This record gives sequence, C-alpha cells and structure tokens, in this order.
Amino acid sequence: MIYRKSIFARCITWLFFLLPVIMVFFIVWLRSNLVALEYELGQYQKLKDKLIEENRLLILQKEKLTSLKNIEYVATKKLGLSITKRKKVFYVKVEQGPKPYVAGFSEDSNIISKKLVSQKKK
Amino acid sequence: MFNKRSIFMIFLISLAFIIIFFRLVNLMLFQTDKYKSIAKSQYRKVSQILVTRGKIYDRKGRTLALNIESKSIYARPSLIESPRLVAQRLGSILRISNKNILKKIISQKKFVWIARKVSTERTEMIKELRFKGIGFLPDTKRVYPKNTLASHLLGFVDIDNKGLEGIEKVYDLVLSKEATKVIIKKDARGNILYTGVNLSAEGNSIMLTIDEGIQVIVEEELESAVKKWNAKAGSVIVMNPYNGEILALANRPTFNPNKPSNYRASNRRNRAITDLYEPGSTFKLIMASAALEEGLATLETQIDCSEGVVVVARKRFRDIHKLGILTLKEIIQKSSNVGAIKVSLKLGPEKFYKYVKKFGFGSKTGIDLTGESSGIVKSPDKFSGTTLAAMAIGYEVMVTPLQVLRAYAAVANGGFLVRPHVLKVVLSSNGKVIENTKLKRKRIISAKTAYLLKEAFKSVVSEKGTAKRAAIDGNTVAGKTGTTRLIDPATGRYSHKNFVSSFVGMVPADHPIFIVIVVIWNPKGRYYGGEVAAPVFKAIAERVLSYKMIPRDDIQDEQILVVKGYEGRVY
Repeated sequence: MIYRKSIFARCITWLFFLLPVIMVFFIVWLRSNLVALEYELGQYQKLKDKLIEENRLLILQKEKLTSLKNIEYVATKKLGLSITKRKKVFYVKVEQGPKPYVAGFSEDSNIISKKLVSQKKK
Repeated sequence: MFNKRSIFMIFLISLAFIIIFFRLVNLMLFQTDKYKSIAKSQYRKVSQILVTRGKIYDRKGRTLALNIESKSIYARPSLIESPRLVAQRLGSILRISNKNILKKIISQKKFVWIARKVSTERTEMIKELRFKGIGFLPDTKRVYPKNTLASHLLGFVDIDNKGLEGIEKVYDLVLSKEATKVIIKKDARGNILYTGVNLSAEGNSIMLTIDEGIQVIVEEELESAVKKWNAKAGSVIVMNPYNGEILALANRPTFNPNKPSNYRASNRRNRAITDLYEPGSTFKLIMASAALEEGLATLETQIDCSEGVVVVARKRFRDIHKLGILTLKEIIQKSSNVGAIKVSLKLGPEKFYKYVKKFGFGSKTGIDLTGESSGIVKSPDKFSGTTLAAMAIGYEVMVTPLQVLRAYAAVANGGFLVRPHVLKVVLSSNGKVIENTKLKRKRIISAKTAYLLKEAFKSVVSEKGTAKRAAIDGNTVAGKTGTTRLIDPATGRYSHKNFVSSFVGMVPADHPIFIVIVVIWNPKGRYYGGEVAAPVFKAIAERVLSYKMIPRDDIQDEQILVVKGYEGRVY
C-alpha cells in the first residue's frame, strides 16, 4: 500500500528542515545588524564628543566676550556710553496691588480667586 | 556496490569530519575559557574615563573657571624611525625647541611626554604627520576666561588638574572626581563600538559669593590707586556685613592663573588674608567699643587732649595737632592718639584684651581660602609698659585686612561677629544644589553699642573728620582711617618713609549693604589713610552703589515709579 502524505504534512516536514536554517540566518543577520548599529552609534558618539568639545570652546569664547570688563570697555570706549549720574536714575518700586479678578457666579468672585491662590501656595 | 577506492575515500572523508568534530568539541567544550579570554582581550579594552573638573561660577552664575579638551602627546623612543625629522616637525608645530624634543626621543626610556595640554588643532596637525611611536592621550585643560580677575581667590591647578592655591585647593575634593575604569569594545582597526557607557564625567561645580561686577570695579580702582601712589602692594575686600559673604577680594600685584609659573610667588600671595600689618587708628574700634560696653564712657564723655602728648612708661605718644578737650566721638572723628590711649589706660589691659579677642583678632577668621594668618596679639601677661598704649592706637598688634573688616562688620550688622566665606553653594554636575553654606555668627557687642559706634564712625566721614575724601554724594558713609609706619629692615625701627594707609568703611551708613577695606602698602608721596585709601573707598563705593542700584538717601519721590504688582508680577 502506498501512503501518500497530505500537503499539510509535507509543509510541516519542509518547515522542520527549513526553520532552523531560516533561524540561523535570521540570528546571523540580527547580529550583523547589531554590530553595524554599534558602529553607527560609535560614530555618533564620536561626533557628540567632538560637538561637546566645540561647544566648550564656544562657551569659553562667549565667557571671554561677555566678561563685564569687556562689556564695559566696549560700552565706554567704543560706543562712547557713560554711567548715568545717580541723581538722574529712576527706581521702579513694585507695590502689592489688588488680586487679579477671577470670573465666577458668586457675588464676591474674589472668593474663588482666594481659593485659587491658596491652592497655588499649597 | 562500492569499489575499494570509493570505500577508501568515504573512510578518509568520514575520518576528516570526525577529526574536525572532535577538534570542535575540544575547542568549544574543553577550551572555552581560554579562547573566550583571548577573544575578549582582542575586542575589549579597559579604558579610563575622562574626568573633568567642576566649574566655578560667581554668585550670578557667570563662569570664572571651566575646562576645555586638550591632548597630551607622548613618545615611545624605541619605535621612532627618524628622530631628527620628528623633532623638527613637532618642534615647529608645538613651538618647542627641537633640541628638547630630540633629547627626549633619543633617550633610553620606554615612555616620554613630549607636551601636555596641547590644543586640539595642533594635535590634529601632528596626527596628520603619522609618525610612528608618537601617541596622544585625551586630557582636559583648566581655563580661567577672565584672566587675572579674582585670581587670588580662585587659585590655580597643576599639570594634573590638582588644586594648588585658593578655591581650587580648598575645594579640590569637591571639584574633582575619581577616575573610574570602564570596559569598551573595539574592532581590529581600533574603532570604538558603542557600549552605552559614558566615557567622560564631571566633578561638582561651585558657586561663589563673589560678584563679578563688583570684582571688576574693585580690581580697576585698586590697580589705578597702586599705580597713582607707586605703592608696593594693595588689597581690597568687599563683604556683606550681615552674613560674611565676600563680594570681592583683590590684591596687587597680581597674576594670571592660566600661567601661574610666569609670575613671582609674591604676586600669587593673597595679601588680604596672609599679610600682617599694624592696623593703626582702625584699631581704635576696640578702645571705643570696650569703653561703651563696659559703661566707662559715652560718646559725649570728655577727655583732655589739650597737651597733644601723653607719656606712658617714659615713652611719648603724640597727636599731630593739639586737639583740646575732646568727647569720645571726637576722639574717633579726629583720630586722637592721646585720647584713645587715655581711655584705654582707664580700661586696663585685661578688659582691653578681652575686646581684642572678642573682635576675633589673634585667631583665624575661618575663611575658606588657603594661607590665612591668625595675626599676632600679646596676652596681658606679656604686655610691656607701653603695650596697652601702643595697642590702643593700633601698634604692637599684627592683623590681616580681613580681620579688621570682620571687626567693623560687627558694627555694621548690629553687633555680630560673622564668619567670612566665599563658597555659596555646591552644585552637582547636572546643576542641582548639593550643599549650602550655613550662616555662622555670634553676638560680641550690644546693638546699642554698635549703633553708637556707627554714629561715631559717621562723623569720621564728615568735614571735620579724617576721612572727608571718603564721603559719597547722596549716601552717608561710616568708616575709619588708619596710617601706620612700617619697620625699616635696615634700622629695625619705625620708618619715616614707609607707611601703610588703610580705610574701612560701610555704606549706606544706617543700613549698610556692603563694607569695604582698602589697604595700600608703602605709598609714595602721601601716606595718610584719609588721603590715600579713603578716595579708593569712595571710587569703589560709588560705582558699586550704581551697579547694585542702591538709591541715594536723599532720593526724591518723583524719582520712584510705583507700579502695582501681585505675586511677583507687574501689571
């Protein structure tokens, strides 16, 4: 008697042999991709280090340029500015004003604002 | 079915496979560890992470010290093929003499440094030459972008970034971080693969109490004063009298911390805290405060100074002019030596000494800087016949400018002795506050005495006082002048040519925002504190008042714009 295997059984058999091969290739592909990614990230890290280095040099340059001594020199010597006489200076004094208006249904809507303020403080 | 030859071939192939199989089993099962370690050594590398020192900021976050990347260049002499060519090329790029480099690379040593802390640009130029035996190691270089500004405070570091002076030394452990080792992956060409490990780390940063704006003003004014009077040296300290925060500290001569070795050791000395001098009339504070505290006198108590001279243990102490009968307030105002001595003699040595110690003289202030001197104060059992009289007018006692400033701060703040300090906060590498400086102070005189002393010191900066040149238009000033003779090293006696001029003052007098001491060593031409040091105080105080936007005492109402605000918002 000749027993003929069903298509399903044949597929299973093929898969049984193919799957390990596919898996091996998949793992190899995954590993190589990982290494490639590590290389890529390594390059980015190099770039990052270089940019940090450049950034530090720029900060140094900025600090030199924005030193108060330099600013004073530029303002007084190059731009011809001078320090104002203290008698001419106006001072701004901030006084405690009324609390901001908050819309509400109650007659004294400031009750809501008080609550809001107390909640904020908490 | 198979002929002999086929059987033989099958046997051979099978044998080969069996041998390979057993070899693989041997390699993979029994020699795993050995080959694993060989493989690891080829693709793994133990590397030391690059540690950079923490930054130093002023009180407003302006950078005073930072780091930049650099490279240190080394050589392995045995690997160098043509030493003369290498020395010539490296010498021209690094601007070092060829002979020095040649001497290093022909030596018998295995490893020699060619140059440390070389800029990245120059390193790249050398890398392009591709010399065998020349290598590069990553390094960081400490840079002080403001050059000489606050150099005595900041200090400097050595070639290995270790703090040697100033803040850099005191907070060396805070600023630096231990270099740990990490394992990184590399390929055959030495390219580093990403491992997720951070290859650099930064120490904690510190924020100082110094204000760059005030520091610039102080340095400029001190520089011009030292030049004007052709003085040997000068020191200025600006302090918040309430909490001891040092707002500025400057000395002349000075140095650039980027190149400390180019300067003499005397230029690097922080004279404001290390150099001792006899304080002269600024020390009359002790006599006045002791007399008021002990109830021996009031500001209106009269002392006869009409003779202009007082003899103590056969030694004559004189006033410049005969000043007549003076009140205690006038003794301070006119800086009468005779009056101060007479009051001190009434107090006696024990009580006088008690107040000298109360004001912190003879012991360190505890400032967080290196090299502070404690000063020299004689105890009463070591007093000679003239010591009390001499101490009353600021002789036979050695102090630092900072000690005098701290004593006057007690008058400014209502009677508390504060601990001067320069550290405000310690910040982690990600900017979070780790540590705050705690306020340390103790009461040494009553608030009433402090108030009375302030009133007396206000009169010093009046038309009749010795420091009228310290007066500021718009704000009241309280202060005291000091003039002392220096010892002539040739004769061992007080010199008639060499002096120390000083002035210590607070402004606005009623509620002082800051207190300043100016000490000028050995000015030429003029030498009185009121003539040499007081104008420096005035120049500094006027500019600082503008910088800090402190209004004049006589400010008019129309000069104040009142705006309504709520919870910090203006609308």
